[in-house]
Amino acid sequence: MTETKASTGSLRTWLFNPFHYVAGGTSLGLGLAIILVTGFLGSLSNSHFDGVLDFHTGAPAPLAAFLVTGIINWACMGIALYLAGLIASKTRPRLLDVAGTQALARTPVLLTALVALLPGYQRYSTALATQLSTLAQGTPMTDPMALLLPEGTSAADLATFAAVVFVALVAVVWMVALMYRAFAVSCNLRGVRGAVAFIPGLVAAWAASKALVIGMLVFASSCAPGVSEDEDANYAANIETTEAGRQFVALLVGGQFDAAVGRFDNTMAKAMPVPRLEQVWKELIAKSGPYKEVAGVRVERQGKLRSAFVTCLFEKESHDIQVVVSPSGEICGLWLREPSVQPEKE
Amino acid sequence: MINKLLPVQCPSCGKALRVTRFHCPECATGVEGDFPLPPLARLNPEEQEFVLHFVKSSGSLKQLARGYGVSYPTVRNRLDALIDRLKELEAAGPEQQENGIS
Repeated sequence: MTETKASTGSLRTWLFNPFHYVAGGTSLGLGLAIILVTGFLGSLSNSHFDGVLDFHTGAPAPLAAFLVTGIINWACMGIALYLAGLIASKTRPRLLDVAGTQALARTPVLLTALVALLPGYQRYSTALATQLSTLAQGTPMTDPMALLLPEGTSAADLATFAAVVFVALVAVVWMVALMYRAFAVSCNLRGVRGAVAFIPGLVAAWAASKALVIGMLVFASSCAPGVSEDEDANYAANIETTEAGRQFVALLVGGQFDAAVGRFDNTMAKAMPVPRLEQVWKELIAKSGPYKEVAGVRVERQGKLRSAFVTCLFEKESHDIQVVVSPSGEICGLWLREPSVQPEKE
Repeated sequence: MINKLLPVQCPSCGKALRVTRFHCPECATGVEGDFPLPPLARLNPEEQEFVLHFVKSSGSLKQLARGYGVSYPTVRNRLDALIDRLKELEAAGPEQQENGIS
């Protein structure tokens, strides 16, 4: 058979129409594996693909939420385009082909999930969210540059953020192109007829996926014991706690102990006045070596309090500085701990 | 030996060619007349090869897809296109000949 010789295919075909070679069960298996890996990577960077075309970096959530979101997106596309194919195609498409090729068409978001792991992107998106949240609460903007370079971020972080956004946009365009090719191959629809059937299917799938993802999050939050806040409030609180931890460490590093103590509540301010805080920091530097950088921040919740565990790298060793933040945003506890995850040593 | 292609279309006007002479290579007998080509013979070589493989694989599209190294829907779409092409040829009759499908 003549096609067998060319079955390895051109790179262009593999990139933009792999369904010429792969469909059905193989495509479904590969696609579902990629969707689940994307969900897992998303959980590491809190990157939510909360809709067929959506990508947002936001609040931490259980791994299951990231995995289920990916399945919802795929199922919505598969069902919507299968129905569109049944209506528009002259031949009856197979659900296995439509669902399988649509699963594989979500491959580009794996790229987005990978680049979203970059620390610079994480730092910048967290700081920007905090900045925007502060502005939304009515705090006047004193320095317009603060919006471009929020506190605790660098120009390199901004560049990384821009690069990740660019990659995410390219990935979405690529994914839509793959979705269309998957639809065209699995339903034998092309040209105007194919586009007229595909576009309403895509819009319907997007709307359904958004509704289902939001519904899932509301359902999950209502089932979770002790969680009374809605998802947005939880997200904002985690962002604020992360930023409070980062900013506090930045003040220590900058020797601004007055400003650091200014963030304590009354009890903490009495327990650890400025000279005491300065002494503790200097002892830490003497023991651990000069401060190098923040390796990461994680947030844990204990009742109404949230703790930012700021993993700080020093020349000799590393420590988690636990900054406990009250609901009013004041620091009500401060601990020095061994890091939960040892940073890699050179 | 050169595998010569059967010309089905007039290179000048594009209309369907008809057979007017047969020749027996053994005894050199010649038969002359005006014989239209059947629809299957008017398919292009690629399409004829596809029909051949389709029949040889007992009409199994899965087997055909494996043989071609492409996906099932790709083969099925090619078959759908071939069915449309044969319908066109049948509807047009032996006098008409359109350009082959891609």
